[in-house]
Amino acid sequence: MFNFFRLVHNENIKIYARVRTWIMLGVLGLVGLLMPVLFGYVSEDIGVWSAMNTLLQFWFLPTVFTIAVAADTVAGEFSRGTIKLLLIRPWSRIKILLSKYIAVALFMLALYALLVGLGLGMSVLLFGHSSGTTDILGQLSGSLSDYFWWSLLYRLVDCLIYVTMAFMFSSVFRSNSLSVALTIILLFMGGLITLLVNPAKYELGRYLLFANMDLSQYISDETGSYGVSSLGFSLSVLAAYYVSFLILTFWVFRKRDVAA
Amino acid sequence: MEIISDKMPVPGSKSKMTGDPVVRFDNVVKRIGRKTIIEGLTLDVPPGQVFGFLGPNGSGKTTTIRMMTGLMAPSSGDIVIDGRSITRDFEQAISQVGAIVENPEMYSYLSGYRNLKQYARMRSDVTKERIDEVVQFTGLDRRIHDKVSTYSLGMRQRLGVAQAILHRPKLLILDEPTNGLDPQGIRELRDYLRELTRKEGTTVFVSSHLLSEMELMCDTVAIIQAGKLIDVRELHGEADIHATLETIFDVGERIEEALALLGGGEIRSGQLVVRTNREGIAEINNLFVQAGIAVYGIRALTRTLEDQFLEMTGGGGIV
Ligand SMILES: Nc1ncnc2c1ncn2[C@@H]1O[C@H](COP(=O)(O)OP(=O)(O)OP(=O)(O)O)[C@@H](O)[C@H]1O
Ligand SMILES: [Mg+2]
Repeated sequence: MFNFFRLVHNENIKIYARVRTWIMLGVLGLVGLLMPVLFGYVSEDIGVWSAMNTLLQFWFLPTVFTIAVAADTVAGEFSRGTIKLLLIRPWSRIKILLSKYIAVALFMLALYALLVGLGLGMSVLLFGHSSGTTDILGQLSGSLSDYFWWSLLYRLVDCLIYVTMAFMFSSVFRSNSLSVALTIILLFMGGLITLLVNPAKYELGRYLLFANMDLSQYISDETGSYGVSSLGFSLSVLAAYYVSFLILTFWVFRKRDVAA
Repeated sequence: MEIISDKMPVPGSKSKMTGDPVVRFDNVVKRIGRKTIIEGLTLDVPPGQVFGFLGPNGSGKTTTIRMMTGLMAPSSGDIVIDGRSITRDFEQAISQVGAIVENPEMYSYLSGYRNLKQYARMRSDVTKERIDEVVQFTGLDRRIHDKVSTYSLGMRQRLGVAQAILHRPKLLILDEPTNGLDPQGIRELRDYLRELTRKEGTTVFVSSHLLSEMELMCDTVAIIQAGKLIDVRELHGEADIHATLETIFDVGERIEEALALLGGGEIRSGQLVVRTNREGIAEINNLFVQAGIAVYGIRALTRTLEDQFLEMTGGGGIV
């Protein structure tokens, strides 16, 4: 098992040795540092947690960045031809792919940690003294800090699903750009698809991946955005999709003839 | 008098083989789509040799090497390396193997050294000293900490060799390793491969279409064409010398008459060529002289492997 972590270490090196990665980290760092300052200008009386809840609107940034890295981690090895020298080591393909998946998941956590860490630090610095009950979006009730942590968790769940999807496309199509494009299209089209196959009207809609994402829909209403579902139901549907994505990813990668 | 009329020399005998084969191809077939790329390859690679795998472009050398390294699965048949099946016992079988498959592409955004570290980390038996040793050997020591993106073709090839020998594999598989190397590099590689087989008992399986190259470094050569094994022969072996002794008899104008008298041999570009042995040459000469045909010269026709290869593969058309 110790040796397996050396595989993950290898994958980490491949991620962090790229200039691209540091640009992503730089952009996220700036957003984390500067957004609270901006919130301070826009709103008179803002608290730490309402600032954080607003900052979470930028969740798509770390998500899209991780999607890009996930798509590259498999497809990039094929397009560069490095996959050949990687696979002729005494490791099964399953373990090599698993090490990649773990490295990508760790990268996702690192990006969120950077955004939330810097954002929280700045917010405490700027708004730590204020009474901080005003919600600048004016639509939330209950404890704002609880709301933030739950939303963050749910965003991480969504992000993991999208990243796993990108990872799957990358393994199946071996094309970096196609994987990124497909995943991001789905990320932005998801809402539209659920609008067309409205779960409130059609039974089928309830089983769509996108109708069950953004679990924060259950914070305000136990039956979700469409009033026909529950947290448990959505979690089961998400788990089913997640496991199917992973099975397909690993199965294709294990079987594939490498002719890169 | 013995005139060997068979145009093709006898395939090298396997008598010299000592020990179990390091690689055993057992009726390996590879089909991609409707195309059969390798058709029933059965071949044993003896240990401790430089074994050449020769074939024209598109004959299936790289495909064979991809199957040997587990990158592609055979459609049927099996490849056994050091007693372990590459399809059923991959991790065990591949741990004995170091390889270059086509171009050795590496992570261009990492330095040569960090690339080697990547592969070293995937094994438990590669020390830091070993990495330095391999870097020294491949002559990359001055550039090893530069990014691979700044390397020339030959330097990348050298780095490819470095990663292949890093863990002292029992079987070294090299797909056209001299591609891009300068004469100095080719020479060093050739000497090194010989040394490896002698000192460490490594078996080297090297593919090439550079025939002159193969003649210089291989003990045995297998020749494939259009996915079929057409010949296996030992080089520098006695069988080779005797079987391929072709002799030109210069008989001036009376060449047709001489040919008729001989009842064998052939006329090749205006010259009478006979395949025979030492005694045969003397006897034929005697025969001609007795028949009143003046013999102006007798000359051994030394055909390089290249000539034979071109002859066998019909000029090397891509199939
Ligand atoms: N992925 C593939 N799909 C279809 N055909 C393929 C594929 N890979 C190789 N081939 C075909 O298989 C044959 C053998 O190819 P291979 O690369 O093994 O030849 P080679 O002997 O290595 O040639 P070269 O000397 O040019 O490197 C060729 O006819 C090639 O077109
Ligand atoms: Mg080839």
